[in-house]
Amino acid sequence: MDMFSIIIIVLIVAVIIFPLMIYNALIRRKNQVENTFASLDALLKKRYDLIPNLIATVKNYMEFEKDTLTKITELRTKAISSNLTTEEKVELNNEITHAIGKVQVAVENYPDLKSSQNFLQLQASLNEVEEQISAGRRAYNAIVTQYNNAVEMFPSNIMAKLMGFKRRGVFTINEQEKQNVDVKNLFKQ
Amino acid sequence: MKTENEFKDFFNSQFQSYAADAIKQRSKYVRKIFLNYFYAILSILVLISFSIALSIKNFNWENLSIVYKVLAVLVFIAGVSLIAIFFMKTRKLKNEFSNYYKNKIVMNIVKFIDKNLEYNPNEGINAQEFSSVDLFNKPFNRYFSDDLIEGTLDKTHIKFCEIHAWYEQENNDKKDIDKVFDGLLIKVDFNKNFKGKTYVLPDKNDKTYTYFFGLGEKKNTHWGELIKLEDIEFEKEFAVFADDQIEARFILSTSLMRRLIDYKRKVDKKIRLAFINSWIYLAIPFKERLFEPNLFGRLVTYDVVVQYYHIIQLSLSIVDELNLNTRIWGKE
Repeated sequence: MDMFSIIIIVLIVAVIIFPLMIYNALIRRKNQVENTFASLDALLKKRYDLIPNLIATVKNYMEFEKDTLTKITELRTKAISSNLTTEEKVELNNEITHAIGKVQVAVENYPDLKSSQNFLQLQASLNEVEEQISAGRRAYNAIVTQYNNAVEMFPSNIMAKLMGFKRRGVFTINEQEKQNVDVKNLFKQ
Repeated sequence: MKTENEFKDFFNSQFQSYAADAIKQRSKYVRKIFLNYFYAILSILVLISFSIALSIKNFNWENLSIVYKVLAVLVFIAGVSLIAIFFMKTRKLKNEFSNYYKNKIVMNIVKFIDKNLEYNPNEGINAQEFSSVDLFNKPFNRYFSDDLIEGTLDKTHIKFCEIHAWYEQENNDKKDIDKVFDGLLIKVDFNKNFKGKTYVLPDKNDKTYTYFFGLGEKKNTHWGELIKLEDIEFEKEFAVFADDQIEARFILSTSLMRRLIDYKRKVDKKIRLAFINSWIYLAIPFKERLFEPNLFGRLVTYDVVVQYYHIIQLSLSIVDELNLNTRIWGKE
């Protein structure tokens, strides 16, 4: 076999193999994103399960924060019942995080509640699940960044375009959470 | 926790009586050990003279009567046995003094640092546990562990001990020794519940990527999947492997990463950590044996004992450095 034929064969193999490898890598990235979101979703569900306990524990004490409690219940019902997109889920959970944070700050005003064994246990569980959700978000962001790199970088961006893969959003801390908690304002609301 | 100045005061006051006792004891043991060496050397000289006598040209072993032959063999056996006995006795004496020293000197330093700490010079962490922690991915067939210090600091249980593990094999009449670990292993109760395994190793273990136009796939390693974390400085110092990347991030929160960088800089050694079943295992390498008495050199001078203080404080400080007494994540 002469040199020319070898080069042609190598080129043909490269033309077939190379796109196949990119295709598989992109699929792998997409699946990793979905997989990680599923794990995060499981953690979010764990938090939904804690919400009824939280409401039951605090509602007798916190007469002035009834609106917040009602809002948390509504958000939870919406989160577990609807068929939401990833973005909507993210948005809804941001709201839940914010509302639970508000309750935890408001508890400072109720010494009996703050020192009750039930609430202390619940608070520990909530802290744990919040920390797990935070870890889940960081894991999701890391995987989505890798996916986004693959979708936008040459040469895989060509294949990604053909496959209809688009850039995905990462979790960001919303403006409300970024600001330091202003306890005075929280109680005014 | 006691400061170094407080330790200095302790050294200059109360400790001096323990030091004086230890020096007296050492002189006693050194005398006995020298006497043993003397007898051993004497036995060797007798044996050498005996061998020279037997190898004199005109000497004919065949001409000796059976009684002399038996006597010669007996003298030879007795000489060899005596040498062995003297060396065994020396070893026993060294162990006895080491035990005395640890129970008197090291024990008092441990109790000074925190009177709730327990010190067991002859106990350690067993080989099965060390092997199951799997920090080194190297087999070993020789192992010993001693100097166990254990206690509870506020809400956090901690124990640490000295460990030596190595692989030894005979190769053409030569002993090949492959060291696995020499140093301290610290086991601390972590403040979060978790089920999987997460390893934080020196960054040289980070060569596990196969690059392909940015689509590089992470290879699964012996310790699990390589986890890339957000903290660039942390990534420069360590490589993280875990069987569950969400759990790895749950353990290695952004603040814990910063705390680990600071702790690593304080220790200034290649530390390895394993997070297993809600425990942290931390390995700090030390080339030398720890807490051992020096029979013929400085025994209880300040520069010697302050080293013990530093090693114990360094081990205990992990509880504060990693903020392990903060128990707000559901673990008591």
